[in-house]
Amino acid sequence: MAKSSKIFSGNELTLQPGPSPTSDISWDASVLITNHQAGVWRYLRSIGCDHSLADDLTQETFVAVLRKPFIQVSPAATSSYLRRVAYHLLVSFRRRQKRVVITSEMDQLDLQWMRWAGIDGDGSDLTEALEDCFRRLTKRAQLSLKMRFGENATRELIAKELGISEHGAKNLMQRAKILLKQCLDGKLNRD
Amino acid sequence: MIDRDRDSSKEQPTFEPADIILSNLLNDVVCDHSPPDLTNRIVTQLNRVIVAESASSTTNNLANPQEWSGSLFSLSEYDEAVALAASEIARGYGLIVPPPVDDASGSNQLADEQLSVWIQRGTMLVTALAACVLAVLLIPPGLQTKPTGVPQNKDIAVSQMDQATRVDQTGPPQVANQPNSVAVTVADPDSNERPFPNERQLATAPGNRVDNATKPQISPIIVANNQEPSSSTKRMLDNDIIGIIDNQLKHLWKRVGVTPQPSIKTELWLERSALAIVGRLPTAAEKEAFRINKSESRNVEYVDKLVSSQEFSKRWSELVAGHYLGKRVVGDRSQPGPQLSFVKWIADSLSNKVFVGEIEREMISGPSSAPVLESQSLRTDPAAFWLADILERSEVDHRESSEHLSKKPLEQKNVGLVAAARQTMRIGGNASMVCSQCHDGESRNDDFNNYLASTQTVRGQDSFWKVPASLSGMSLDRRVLGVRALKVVKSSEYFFEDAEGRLKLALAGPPTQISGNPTRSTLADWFRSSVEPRRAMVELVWNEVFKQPLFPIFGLTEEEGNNDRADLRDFLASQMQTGERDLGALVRWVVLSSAFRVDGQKMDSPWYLKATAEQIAETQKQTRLFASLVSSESPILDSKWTSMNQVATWVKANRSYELNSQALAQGAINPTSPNSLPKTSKPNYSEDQVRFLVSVSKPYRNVSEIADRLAASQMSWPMLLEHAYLVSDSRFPTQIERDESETLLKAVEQDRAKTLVMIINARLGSN
Repeated sequence: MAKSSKIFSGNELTLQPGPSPTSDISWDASVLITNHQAGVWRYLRSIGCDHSLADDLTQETFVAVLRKPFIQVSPAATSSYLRRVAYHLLVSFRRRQKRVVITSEMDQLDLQWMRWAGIDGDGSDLTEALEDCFRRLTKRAQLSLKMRFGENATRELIAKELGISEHGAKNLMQRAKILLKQCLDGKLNRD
Repeated sequence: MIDRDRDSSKEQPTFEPADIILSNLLNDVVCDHSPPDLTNRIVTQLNRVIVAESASSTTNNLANPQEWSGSLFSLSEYDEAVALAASEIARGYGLIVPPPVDDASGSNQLADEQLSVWIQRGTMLVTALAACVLAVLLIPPGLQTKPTGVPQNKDIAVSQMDQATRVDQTGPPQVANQPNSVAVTVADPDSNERPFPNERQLATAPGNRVDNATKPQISPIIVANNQEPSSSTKRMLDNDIIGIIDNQLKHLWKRVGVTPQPSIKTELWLERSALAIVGRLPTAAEKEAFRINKSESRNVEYVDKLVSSQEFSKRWSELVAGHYLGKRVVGDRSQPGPQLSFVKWIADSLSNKVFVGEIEREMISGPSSAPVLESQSLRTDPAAFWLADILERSEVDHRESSEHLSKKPLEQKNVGLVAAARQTMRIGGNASMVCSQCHDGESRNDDFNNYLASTQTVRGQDSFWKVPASLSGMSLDRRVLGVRALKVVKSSEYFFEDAEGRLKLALAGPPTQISGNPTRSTLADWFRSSVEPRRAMVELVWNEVFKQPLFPIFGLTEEEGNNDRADLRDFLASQMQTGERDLGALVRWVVLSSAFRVDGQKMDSPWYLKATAEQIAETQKQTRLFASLVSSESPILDSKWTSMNQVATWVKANRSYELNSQALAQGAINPTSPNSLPKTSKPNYSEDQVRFLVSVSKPYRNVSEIADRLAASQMSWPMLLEHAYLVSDSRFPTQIERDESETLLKAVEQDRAKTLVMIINARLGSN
């Protein structure tokens, strides 16, 4: 087991760095938040949360974890732990909204995230890899995806912009996504 | 939002996790969105929640801090998420990246199963290592030989990993996020419960049993004599409770010298569990789901799924309603609307996992003023219906009493009052009461109407709820009697234990000193806060699951009536009360106990005809001690005779009729009109009646012979009655049925054999 580090205890959290008198702390809560908030946020975004919900759930994840004493076992365990807390909060949130939660699908998303981002990754490698792969696409494919995902354009509008049929636009985007997926698999293969 | 390309697709969408993640990430990449810095926001919110939580705990303010801290989630939701996550990490989830699924669809169930098994096997080693680490963490500080780097203070001891090891499966139904997932809640930091590693807990569940050498030994219950379970009893974990049930029964078997039957096969356990929980056999899909579920806690998951189903709520709402009303209740549409509303109200409460005491409090408290018995309130107010139903039935049952002609409001009539008091006593602790407890004058318990004629004073007549409210005072005397009742006593007698522990019958006079002026709400509050009514609920559940009560007050021999059984009942009741658990939790404990897995014996007609007297005695002893269960493998159809009182009425009205099976069967067709049958002429059977008589002819074949054999023995009437119900229903009679059988026995002039024949025939009447 890795060195145990108490990072929060007490009724009031402060951002003052430095060891607590009760243990050999090399971390504090702010370090945990700083190191892991991006990973949790990206994870939530990738499994389907919009920006606002990802912000809220990231906040709630750290609140849930830090309101009780916490022991750092290993960076990988901490990363996975935070991700799973976020996952369960998302499930609770959706249940409360009376939305059907198909957890087997959620689990598959979780596994896929681990394959691409790694168990202790914060998703930055994944984002960088995706940006790199995106740049390798043809200009037309990039444009179609930018319109689709950046501007929320309809398929009809994309087709008109590119001067192709609607069906052609659909094929173009599908092929582009397949290429991106293959590119990511190649870059991030962690098996 | 998840997959935009699927929005307009007319094809059946397939689930592609890689596509979905890619689409969602693309949105951020093309828009150049990066994660925001939420540090200050998190810290602010964290401080707010901690302060709110701290203020809530110090002021005992029960309001949810969620409301004034502005959190998205309640504290329990935080705890649940954290505990589930910690549990998964402790099992190794998230520490190994599984290989991708080869199946193109990515949703192939078989592949998912294989993947799950792979994860499970692959993480076993990690889990074992984690368990070792946990073991080090969980060793009490006093037992550690040397201080290590592990923090010793309390805050650290209740760490996330410690929380993960505390499994409590009574919480709201959890979604099986992972093959091994179990519901985990955060332990109460103030609790004295000992840490109980997850794997060990799972291993103690039925079906995951381990050798006795390795199984954690939980001592049988030790409750001091004549002592109410302490109000400070700690809420125990489910598996500890189940372990205590097992050990308590083992202790009883050992003391009595009974060897329990071996455990049944899994498939039979599945059927038995489903029958007990939802009243039907498991479906093929349920069996298959159980078979392919390779997790260690699959038994628990199977039971949890059944307990959280609507079928459970429906079945048990009828049973609980029957318990409250003192009659058999069916929740189908053939029943009156108010009764249906009452059953539905209970079913909704069970679905929402409402504490049983709260249901009873609400049912008894009713409107603040006098009981309102208008038709509209009967439909909408369960309390009004409960009271009105008891009063009305008692009025019908005693229509020969002159009281029914009086102009008094229904709730002021003595007959109804007594019925309500008696029923309240039943709900409040499975107790009977006699007239002399509330009436002045001589104790004449032989006949109710005679007694009414001999005495005029009814205590508390001016205050309807005074008599039932005095239960809270009575219980001080009564609560020890059930525990130590070692003698066979007539069911119509109320008895208590004196200061020296001797059993005594109640005498005329006030039952107890009632302080203050009890009201309906006093009684309702008592039902909410006292453990006594929980005992009645334990008996109800135990009776339904094991087909006989855990501690029947009447009919136990001295050795069977040892304190072990009563202590177990008190323990289960106190755990229900302390933890404010719902009915499902109690059913779960009982069904998951090892005793529920012992093999059974089908004591049907052929068995009785072949068995020797010794075999009958031995088998009955085994079944009465739960060392062998009465088999109910064949579905039991309900008889049209709803009660033995009904049979007795029919017998009285048809005295000249030969008491044979045909006559009884025909009576069953129209039991409510006993006088409609011609007494001399041969009845003309309709086609339906003929079909009915043919269908019932077989069960009647050897009943007389069985009854003669039983009646010729030296067994007491309660024992004979038990055999009658074992033959007909594969179960022991309930307390109400025992009472009613006495009426029938009187109606046929104490002819035990004839009464047995009639009971068995009446029970089989509609098969």
